[in-house]
Amino acid sequence: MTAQLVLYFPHLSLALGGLVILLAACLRRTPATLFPILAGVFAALPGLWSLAGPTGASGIGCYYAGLLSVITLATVALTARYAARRGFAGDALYGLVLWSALGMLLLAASDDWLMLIVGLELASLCLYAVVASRLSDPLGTEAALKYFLPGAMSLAVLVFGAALVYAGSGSLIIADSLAAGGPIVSAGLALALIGIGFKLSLAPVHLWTPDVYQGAPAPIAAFLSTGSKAATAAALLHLCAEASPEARELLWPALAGVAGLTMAAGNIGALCQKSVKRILAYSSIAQMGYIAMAAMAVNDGGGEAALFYLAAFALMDLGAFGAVGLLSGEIGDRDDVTAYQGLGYVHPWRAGALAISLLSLAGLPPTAGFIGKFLVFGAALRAGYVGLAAFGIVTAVIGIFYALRVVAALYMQSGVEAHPAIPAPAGPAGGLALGVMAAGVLALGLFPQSLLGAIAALFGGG
Amino acid sequence: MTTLVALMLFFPLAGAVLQAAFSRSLSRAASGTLAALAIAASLAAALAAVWNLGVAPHEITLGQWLAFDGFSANFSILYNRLAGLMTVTVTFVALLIHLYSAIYMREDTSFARYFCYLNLFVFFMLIIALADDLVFLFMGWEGVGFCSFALIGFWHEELPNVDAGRKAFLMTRVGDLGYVAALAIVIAASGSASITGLTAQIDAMPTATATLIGFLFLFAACGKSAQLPLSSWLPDAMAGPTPVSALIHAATMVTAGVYLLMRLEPLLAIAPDVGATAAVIGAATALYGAACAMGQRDVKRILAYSTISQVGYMFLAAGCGDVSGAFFHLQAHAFFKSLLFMVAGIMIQAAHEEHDIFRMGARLRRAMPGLFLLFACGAAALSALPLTSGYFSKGRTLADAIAHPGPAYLLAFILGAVAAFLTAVYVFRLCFVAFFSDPADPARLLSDPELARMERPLWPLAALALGYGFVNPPEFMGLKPWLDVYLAGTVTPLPPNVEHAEFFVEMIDAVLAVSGLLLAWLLYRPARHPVAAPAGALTAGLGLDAFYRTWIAAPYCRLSARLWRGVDEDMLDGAAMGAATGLLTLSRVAARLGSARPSTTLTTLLGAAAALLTWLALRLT
Amino acid sequence: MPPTAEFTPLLAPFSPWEPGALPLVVFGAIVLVVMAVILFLSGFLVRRRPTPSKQQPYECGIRPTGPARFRYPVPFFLMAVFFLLFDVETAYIISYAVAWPELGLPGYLRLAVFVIVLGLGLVYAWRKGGLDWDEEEGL
Repeated sequence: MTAQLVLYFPHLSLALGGLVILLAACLRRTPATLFPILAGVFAALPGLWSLAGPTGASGIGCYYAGLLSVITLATVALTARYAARRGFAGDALYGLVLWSALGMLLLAASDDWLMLIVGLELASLCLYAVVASRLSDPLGTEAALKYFLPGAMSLAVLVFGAALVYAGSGSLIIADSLAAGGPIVSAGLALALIGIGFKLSLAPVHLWTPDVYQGAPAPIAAFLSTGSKAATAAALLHLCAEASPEARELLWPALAGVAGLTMAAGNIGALCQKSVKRILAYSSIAQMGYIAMAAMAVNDGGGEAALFYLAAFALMDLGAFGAVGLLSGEIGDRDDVTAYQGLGYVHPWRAGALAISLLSLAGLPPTAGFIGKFLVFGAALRAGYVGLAAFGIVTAVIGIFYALRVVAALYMQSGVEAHPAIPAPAGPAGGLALGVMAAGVLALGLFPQSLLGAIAALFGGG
Repeated sequence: MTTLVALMLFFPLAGAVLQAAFSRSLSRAASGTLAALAIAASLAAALAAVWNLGVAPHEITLGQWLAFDGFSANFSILYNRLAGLMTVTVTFVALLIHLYSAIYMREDTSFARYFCYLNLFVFFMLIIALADDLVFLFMGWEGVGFCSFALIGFWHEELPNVDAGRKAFLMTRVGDLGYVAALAIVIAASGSASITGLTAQIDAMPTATATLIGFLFLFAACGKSAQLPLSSWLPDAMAGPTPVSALIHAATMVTAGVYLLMRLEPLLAIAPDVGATAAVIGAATALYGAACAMGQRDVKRILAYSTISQVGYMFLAAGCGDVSGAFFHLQAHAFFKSLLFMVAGIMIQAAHEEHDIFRMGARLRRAMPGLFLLFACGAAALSALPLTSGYFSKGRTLADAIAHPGPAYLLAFILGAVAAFLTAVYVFRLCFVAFFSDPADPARLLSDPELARMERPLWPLAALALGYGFVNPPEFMGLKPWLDVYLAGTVTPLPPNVEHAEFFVEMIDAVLAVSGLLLAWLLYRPARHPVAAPAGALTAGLGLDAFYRTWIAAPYCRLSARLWRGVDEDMLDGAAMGAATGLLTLSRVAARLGSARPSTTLTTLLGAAAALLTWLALRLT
Repeated sequence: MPPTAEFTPLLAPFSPWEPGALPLVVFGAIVLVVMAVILFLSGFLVRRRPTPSKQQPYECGIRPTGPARFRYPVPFFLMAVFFLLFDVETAYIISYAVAWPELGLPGYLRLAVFVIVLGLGLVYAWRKGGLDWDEEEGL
């Protein structure tokens, strides 16, 4: 019993956290500032648990408890002041964020098709609501709708895929069922991959991403693009690692095409965007293309590379979206690229964090993005996907352009025309979270061995 | 000894750093005093080091600079008697010039920058004088080049000054290519980059390699010392402040090339072709400089061409393998040429920044008799009137040339002798025109007590210009040649046939100098009311600049324009632009798809599922 | 627990040429063809003569009034959702009750947690005014 409590401590703390927040809201005269604090405390517990290194926990569960804890904490810190000043802070927002994190944790560490589906659905359902949390904003409502309808359909595809796998193998354990092989299992795996690919916004089912990211409030978009992507990518890695050789031979060419198409669509689509949040959305699409490439090479070191890249991506996307949120005025998010002109001189810290995150997204040294891309491409080359890796490098070079376009706007001396020039104050928690993200991006870029060592220690034993 | 050498290097560097750090808060007097004190301390350290120096050289390593793959470059120093005397000469002349500068720059606002560069220059020059490691030496070599660049363009508000600085930098940089190439070959051939290492392995080195290295170093030396064919930067370098011309472009930096050849004497000894080439280049440059000096009106340009000419004599001696003779002339030249430059500085300030000697005239001599006396001392030494320092040192270099067998050395002797005659002519042309004539439109004279104060540091130099020759008198006079004896254990001793030739050569030299004086008197005596000849080929430096402009700069500009327009803009940019346009078109398509309605998203989702299942069905059947 | 039947995986791929499946395939094909032909012919043969009254949206023969987009009152929808939620709970509880002898105390505790959480949800919805039938103030 105690052993099980220890094992499921992160899940319990997240679930209870959400409940406690909602119950606190039922009491009379609960101060509104209590909710983010409670959420922060309960979000930090899984991280502490994974630092303590519990016995018996799976490597992936441990890693994701830590990663999701960091992501959730940062989201809560970035959201707190942002939501309060714009009038959509409430118990439901924080409770749903925590439960969504719970769903992501279940999804990432799932061994079972049912747990995978339940986790994915829990995470997604909460996110649909959180995206629309700013009720007065028609863009947000539209985004939630555009996320919800296709999301439900993709879940149906995933469930159908899982059903086919079960029909073909008679097992709901992912490893066993995929090992069985056979055409029906392959077809089921293909449909499941499409469902997961939708959540990961792999091309050609990525079309919802830009609208949703643009419509969601910036810190929520950060959570959406980091937490849900990281957890879903873990499921993708898991499925790819367990796929039978027969299924690989059938599906890998299609997956390679999808990965290449995703990199190209993301990086090229971002080129002519005028909205920073759309640029970031396309950028995250492109990053998922690299993750898909790493997933193909999952048994040749691609898994470790992808896990590192996911952590790096989480840090830099949280930094980028968080900076967008903190630089925004009271009314809407600062979205137009021209509205960023000269901000680097007016708000050096926030703009600096944004610049570091963008450079990392572009994959320039000495940031974490560079190391991550380096590892991912290294793994792809080791696994023999030379053409795909070369294509990926070309698209990555294209990707440098749009990141630098925003950075150049930040530091453009002539014509400082940022509107509004003065964003809402960041607040200590948001500023701290942003600083930690930027510092983390640089630290992972300079000392990647620290995280790589941890990953190797968690997964070295198998 | 290590402490003394380190201190010698430390003081000027510390002075420069302090000047740079406190440039805002230092007063004019404090800045000048600080700079002069730094050099004085360095001079004291140099003197103390020489005082304790025996015949055996000291090899000192102050630290390691960089090391990789078995090769290492150290801050190592080869402190022998030659280096010791060089450091004393450099710091001594530099000290006097600092004292002079403190008054000369009395109205300039950026004095701290000036003294910073000047101290930094002395630091780098001492590195050249001391360094054993050729990479370390290269640091000093480039450092003095940088300081020279910065000080030529010191008054950077005016474009010609900056252009002159850039020209000097670029032309010496051409020479530096030779240094870098030589350095690479030395490292490849001997595995180390130090002078001692090179000397130790010199016997094992093939003559061809040694000759190649020698020629490359000679090319580098030509660049630094403004020898033909890289001489045309020096006259333009006169755009800088006059004390800078005295210190850098007369007394020390331009002799760095010769000094490098002296340090590499063991290498030249096994590569006789290099020596002969150096001798001929030196003699030809001596003649070239003397001839061009005849055509100038600007007092500083006359002295600049004169410097080119005199450094040519040093090359001549160094090429003949007579290190102590070359060094003797180096020292004598440092004294009298810095004296002449500083006198020229006072002349120019007295005449309200007028450089033209044809507008000065006898009134200047009457107003400032002391100045004339100083000038006369320098002029006598430069023109090698008997018993002055220049007489002995130049005679020694000519004797080296004639004592060496071979047609190349004979040619060098003849060129040098003609140059010696021309030297006397242009020196006294300058003297008579600037101090005796009665010009038609004289410049106004400035009467400022500061001018007289500037003369004070020059008297020791005047005394040395006249009397320094007796440090190393020729053998036939029966006096003791102190310098030769002192350097005897360090460099190759003088061959006896030079001593035999000396008597004959010194006679010829005296005759040439006096006849030059007489010719100048005939042509330019006050009674003839000399007027300047119109600018001609000599004024333009025999067209060397025009040659470079036509045959190197212009084709280079045309080529770069073609590369820019044709290759870069049309081909590379065109390709890049084409790719970018294509990508942007693609991007618009992707963006249009991205702002899709949910129905499009659903269609793609189901379409993807259908496509994948079809693909599977095709693969499975 | 009662033993489950032996599972037989559906290994043989579905083939349209099997005798049992062929009539279905043929029927489906015929349906598709007929639909396509009707749709094509109705678009191809009809002559379009649009008039303003023809362009009006069809509202059972009545003249349309007001815009098509207006806000429906939400409370009814909310009530329906709540009813659905707690109705499903009933389904769970009944199926649990049927299996009571096998599940014992552990099963009881598990269901208790489920019901308590659901009850907390009810409290929350109540406090937030989800049960108030007030078109102005409700959610």
